[in-house]
Amino acid sequence: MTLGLTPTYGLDLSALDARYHELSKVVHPDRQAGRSPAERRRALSLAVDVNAAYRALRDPVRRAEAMLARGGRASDRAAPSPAFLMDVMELREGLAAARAASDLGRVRGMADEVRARRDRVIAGLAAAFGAGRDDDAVPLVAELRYLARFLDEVRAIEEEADA
Amino acid sequence: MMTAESPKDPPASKLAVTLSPRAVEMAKARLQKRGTPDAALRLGVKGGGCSGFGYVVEFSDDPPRERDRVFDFDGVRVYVDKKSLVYLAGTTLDWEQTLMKSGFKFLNPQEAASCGCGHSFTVK
Amino acid sequence: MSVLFDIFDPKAAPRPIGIDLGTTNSLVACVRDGRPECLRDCDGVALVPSVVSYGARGHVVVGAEAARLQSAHPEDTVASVKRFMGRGADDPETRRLSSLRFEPPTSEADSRVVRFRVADRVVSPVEVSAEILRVLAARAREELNGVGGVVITVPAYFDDAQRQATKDAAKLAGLEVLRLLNEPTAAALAYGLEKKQNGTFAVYDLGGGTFDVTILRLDDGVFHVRATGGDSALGGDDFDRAIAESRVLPALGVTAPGPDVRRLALDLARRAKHALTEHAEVELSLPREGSAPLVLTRAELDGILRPIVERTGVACRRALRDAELSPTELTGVILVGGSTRSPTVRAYVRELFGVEPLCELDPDEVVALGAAAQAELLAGEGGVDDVLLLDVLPLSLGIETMGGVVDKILPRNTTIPAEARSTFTTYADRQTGFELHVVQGERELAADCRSLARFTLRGIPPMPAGMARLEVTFSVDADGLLHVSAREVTTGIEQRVEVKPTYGLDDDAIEQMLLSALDHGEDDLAARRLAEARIESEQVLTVTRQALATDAALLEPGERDQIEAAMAALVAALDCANASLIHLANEDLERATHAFAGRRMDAAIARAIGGKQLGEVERSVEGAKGIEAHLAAERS
Repeated sequence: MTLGLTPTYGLDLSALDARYHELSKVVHPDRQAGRSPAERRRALSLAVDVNAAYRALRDPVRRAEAMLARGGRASDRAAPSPAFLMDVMELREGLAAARAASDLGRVRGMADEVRARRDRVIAGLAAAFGAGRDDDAVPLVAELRYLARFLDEVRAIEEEADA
Repeated sequence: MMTAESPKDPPASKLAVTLSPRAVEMAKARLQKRGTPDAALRLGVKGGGCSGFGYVVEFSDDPPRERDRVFDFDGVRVYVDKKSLVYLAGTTLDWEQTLMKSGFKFLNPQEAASCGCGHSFTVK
Repeated sequence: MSVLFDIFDPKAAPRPIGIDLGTTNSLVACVRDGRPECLRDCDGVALVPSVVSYGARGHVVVGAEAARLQSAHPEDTVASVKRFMGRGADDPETRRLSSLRFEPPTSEADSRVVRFRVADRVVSPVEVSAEILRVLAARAREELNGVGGVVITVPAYFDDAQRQATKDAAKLAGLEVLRLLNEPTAAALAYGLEKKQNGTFAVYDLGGGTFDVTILRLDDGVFHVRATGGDSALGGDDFDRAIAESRVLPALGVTAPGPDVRRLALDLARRAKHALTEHAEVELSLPREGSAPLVLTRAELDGILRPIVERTGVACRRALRDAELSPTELTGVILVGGSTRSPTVRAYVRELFGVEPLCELDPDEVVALGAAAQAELLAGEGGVDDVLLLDVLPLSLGIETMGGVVDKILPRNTTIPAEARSTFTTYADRQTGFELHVVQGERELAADCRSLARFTLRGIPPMPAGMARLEVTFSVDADGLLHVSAREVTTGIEQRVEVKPTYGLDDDAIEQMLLSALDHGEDDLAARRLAEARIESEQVLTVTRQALATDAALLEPGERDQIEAAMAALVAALDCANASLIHLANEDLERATHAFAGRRMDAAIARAIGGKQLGEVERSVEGAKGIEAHLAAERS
């Protein structure tokens, strides 16, 4: 469910927040004073759904998967280009080396690089979906997944270093 | 100010409480806001608190009890039970507004000492 | 000086209250004339020291008086009980510097809860906390005509066991809990209602025994928590311990201090800490013949406290990362908790976030004020229609899988209420039982996380390994409490499990305490149940009548008759003094109104999203992966 927003990849996140807040004001358990237990239970299950939908819609990977699913395309079989895979492998090796050397500065530098790259992929996806070129979006979704996983790893390294 | 006490009880006239004009005005407003303009106020004294006795001011929707004295201040009826009246004789109920808070205040000439906040007091 | 009285209304409805059940001090607050305020004692003091002293012959003293008894009766006086909430007897917390006598557990079940030996009895942290709650509720009852529901605050970083223990304490004190509210969120609510400024804020909450940091966004009355983190065993108590251990005990020349010396050392440490908040140097006279006074400077204190304060930085940086924010993107930092008065702490916060922290509201009172505001909102009073708190799960919830690795089912910082499912399978042929171990925490291995519950799903029909499909559902309610249900999908065998923490009191134990707390035991309990069932039913009848009146248009043919029949049955059940009969009639009425309730909710949602027909909106969208399009399904 898209919380009643027009399904589009280039989602305006502040519009999403606003809609999410509007719906939460109706369905959140805190707002059920004066309602019957049946209505409360129903509201609770809606609140759970609204929270889950919000979380999914904010996530660029899941949003892209949902857009592909709308167009009847599966996203899980898509593979990125061999060149991209080579790139990612190099990045990961670099990250492992930086981690082994406890070079947090290098880790952060790589993270910034990958973040910029991720933002370009997201822009590319928005353009592809916007023009109805869903086929072009398929490999980009796969790239996005790799980049997101890389950034998760960076987070784990930062946390490890901090603790 | 009028009092509705019975004339055949002369010593009682010394045993009286009063409401300041501001207190009368605020009491009316509170009764109005509560939706019970014809209800009464009950003033009294109860045991407890850190200095011995505590003051009571509350709404009363019932007719006065047998042991109550009834006063009337410009239409605001006030009940005080006879036991409490012994401690409250001469008291003026006032209304005060400070920077932080507003509310009713007991000005009781018999009060010897009150605890820090005045929730309770001892009698001279 | 004289107090100003409000006219007490013996017929006024019970009022909702907010309670800050703190490690060092507790407070109770209530909204009056549209503003939250703390309820004070005779001397205008809002803080009730969270200290409970037990005397011989069942005598219990709480608050300032108990604190005074502490030096004379260190072993019978429990302070900082919050540190032990939801903790087991073998928890490291129980081995730290303390003057309490821990009762050794006699059985394995016994070891799930810490117990203290005090005066003539043995008590658990839940019972000690209930004593504090009783005193706060009594203060509220004195000021207000009656106490309705209560919102109790807990550290955001409290895990499920600690939250459950807090709720149990309230139950034991005879209070109806409207909500457990996270302390930083409560503080933000108090600030937000006061200042009405939109933006992204960090709440830095360092109390007596717990540290929380919460990053939240305030948007026109919606308090949307983005991330939270902390340490549920870090606070001002640690400052006292560090000062006592590094300076006071050596000055006293004691190497193996007994309970009273420890108490004395901690007292002196606390006094030095408070004095150095305002002064550059403090001189403590030691109660030892011929010994010179102990001189401590602020710089020395800084040196002692700094390493402890720096531990808060880890949680702060992580919360910022989770919220995907840098410190420069914050509108402000709100300070909460008595320990944020320390200059060492303020200097560190300034350094960490690069902004001057906000501390206009009393850091001791702000949490209770927020709790009172939330209680008012939950009771549907006050008409502050645009305020809503969207809070999160503080610690990931998961299941132990093969090899002791945790499969995270709900990640931390998920907005609650939330639900998630995961499917497991059997690993042996003809396996008929499946053991599930529910854990909470961020570590990879279950052994490093907090164990919440273990249970076994039984009665799985014998199948080859890997054939059975076990679907486990985690639901977290708005209090942050977990409920687990498990289902074997191929046969539909369902088992719903209330997750009572592995560490904690079970329902029977709570019941037993409740019974012994009441004078007439079972009779009282039955009477209370009946009274509760009656009140609940009256409320249900009232709201149902209102719903029938306002939304008659949403009724299907014949539906009104069914609902009215169920209402009549409930009214009849109320006449019998039988709680279970009332419950049954209540359930029947709920079934009868179920569909109608759904339509009313849908109508409310449709209004919220701009008058569009919900079906229309839903038809235009597809379900995102993994999310059921509940709305559309219910609509058709």
